[in-house]
Amino acid sequence: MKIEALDESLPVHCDSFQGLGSLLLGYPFPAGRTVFPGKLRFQQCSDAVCEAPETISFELPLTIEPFRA
Amino acid sequence: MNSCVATGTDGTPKLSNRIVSCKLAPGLQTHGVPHPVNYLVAADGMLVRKYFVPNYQHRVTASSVALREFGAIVEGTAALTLRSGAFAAEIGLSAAKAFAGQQIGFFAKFRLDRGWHVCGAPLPTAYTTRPSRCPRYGL
Repeated sequence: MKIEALDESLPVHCDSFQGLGSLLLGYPFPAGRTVFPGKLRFQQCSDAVCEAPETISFELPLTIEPFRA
Repeated sequence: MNSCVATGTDGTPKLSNRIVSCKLAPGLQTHGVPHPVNYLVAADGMLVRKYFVPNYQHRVTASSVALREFGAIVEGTAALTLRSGAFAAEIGLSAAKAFAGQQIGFFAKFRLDRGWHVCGAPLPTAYTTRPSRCPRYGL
């Protein structure tokens, strides 16, 4: 994005984009339903305004299967 | 990473076609415990990628590989949709179930309305990210 007033360019994300990662479960790990809490922090801006920074908390559920002998 | 081909007492390969861990001393019964690796092989037989984790107790799940390679998510896996103003995010795991010691995938798909953006790496060296405070507005 070109900031005309500063004569600078700033890399930004717009339209659609994605991030991928991985979670490594410890061993051992108790069987049953568990949740992984997370926080998404961002600040959305247009050419005219920047909204206040936001943080959205979320929880991702995962069922840990028991080992069978 | 310590890996090798384990040999029996007569020196012949014990697991000649597998990668094994030799962190455990020779002579121990557990020396040469098989080391898990996932290979992604194309239809033409070419090896595309390998997924190798350093600890033999860990496993990379197929769902994690499918997410990273093809963007695929296991059917029935719930994803969260978060939205605020012009910004929306869909966040989830590659599978709804897993075993202890497994590595699963995580994804976050973002979407912004036309005319809006969020800053992201790499930022110019002169820029730093810091929390903002606007006490007057309770922020």
